[in-house]
Amino acid sequence: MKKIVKTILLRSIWLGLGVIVIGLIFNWLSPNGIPLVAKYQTVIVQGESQKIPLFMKRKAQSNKETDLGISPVSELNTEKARQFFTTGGTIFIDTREYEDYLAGHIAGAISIPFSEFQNDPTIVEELDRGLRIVTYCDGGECQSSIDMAVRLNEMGFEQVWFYFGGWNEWVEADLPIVKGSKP
Amino acid sequence: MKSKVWDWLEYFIRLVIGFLFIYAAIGKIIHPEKFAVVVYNYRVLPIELVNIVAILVPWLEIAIGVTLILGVWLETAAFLLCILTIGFIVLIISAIVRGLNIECGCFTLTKEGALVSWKRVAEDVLILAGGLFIFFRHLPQEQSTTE
Repeated sequence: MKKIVKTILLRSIWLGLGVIVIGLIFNWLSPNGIPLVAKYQTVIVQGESQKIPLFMKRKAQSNKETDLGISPVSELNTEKARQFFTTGGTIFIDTREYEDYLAGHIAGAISIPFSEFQNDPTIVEELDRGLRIVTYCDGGECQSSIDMAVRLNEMGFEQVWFYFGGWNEWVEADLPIVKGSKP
Repeated sequence: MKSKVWDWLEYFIRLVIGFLFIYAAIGKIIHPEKFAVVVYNYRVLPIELVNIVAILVPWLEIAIGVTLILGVWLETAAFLLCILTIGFIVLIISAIVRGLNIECGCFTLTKEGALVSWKRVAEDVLILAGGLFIFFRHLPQEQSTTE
């Protein structure tokens, strides 16, 4: 029995070494090769820093401070989100699934479910790059608003923020909402 | 006669799983950046390990697939197949339990790529059963030749 365990372990090591060598060489030679360690952007969420990996191989845009005094890509609290909402020139993106959007969303928000965006990032190409973009999802445990904001920034959208409190805090604050498919 | 049937059954299972693994790996090798996103979305690995896992796991699938098809080092191939498949099953179940609505990344990375679901778990359990079948058929044989 000991011998068979030894055989399996030794052969596993040999296969593993082969996998590492071929995998790394192929990745190095491939035009689609990726860095061994993902580049990431650090964002502050609820006072804690979080690393969001960058996958699109494009340079993240410079984070200039804007007229509303918060540099992208960063978190908006409900008060700031309301400020963006009332100032105009801002588009809210609901990153939840479409059924959640139908059940109720921030007034004027458009639906771009994060899962769809991941499958096909080009669906955001039609967005006006001059607008400010605020992404949101449910709030609390939900992560897609942060990921979406970072990805959009990678894609060249300079004015992007995430409203981490999201739908839950917006409703709690009794701010304008719409039900159904209309923005 | 009876053992011949088992031999053919094992050969059939090895071919099916072998080609399935190679097929599953090719898309991930061609588009490692897409597979890296899938790996990240499971949210179990630190960011620093996401890319290296996305680069190497498909090649491990190729290694298992090729050895199964060629019929070499079968006990090791089946052992690694079982370990990898158990890993996949645990990952998918943990994603379902955590309510993550993410792409499985199991066999394809296309736009219509399947989301994590109990169906994916069932598929992996079948593969695991195949892996165990091959493993235990080759375990005593190895033992008798090495002892």
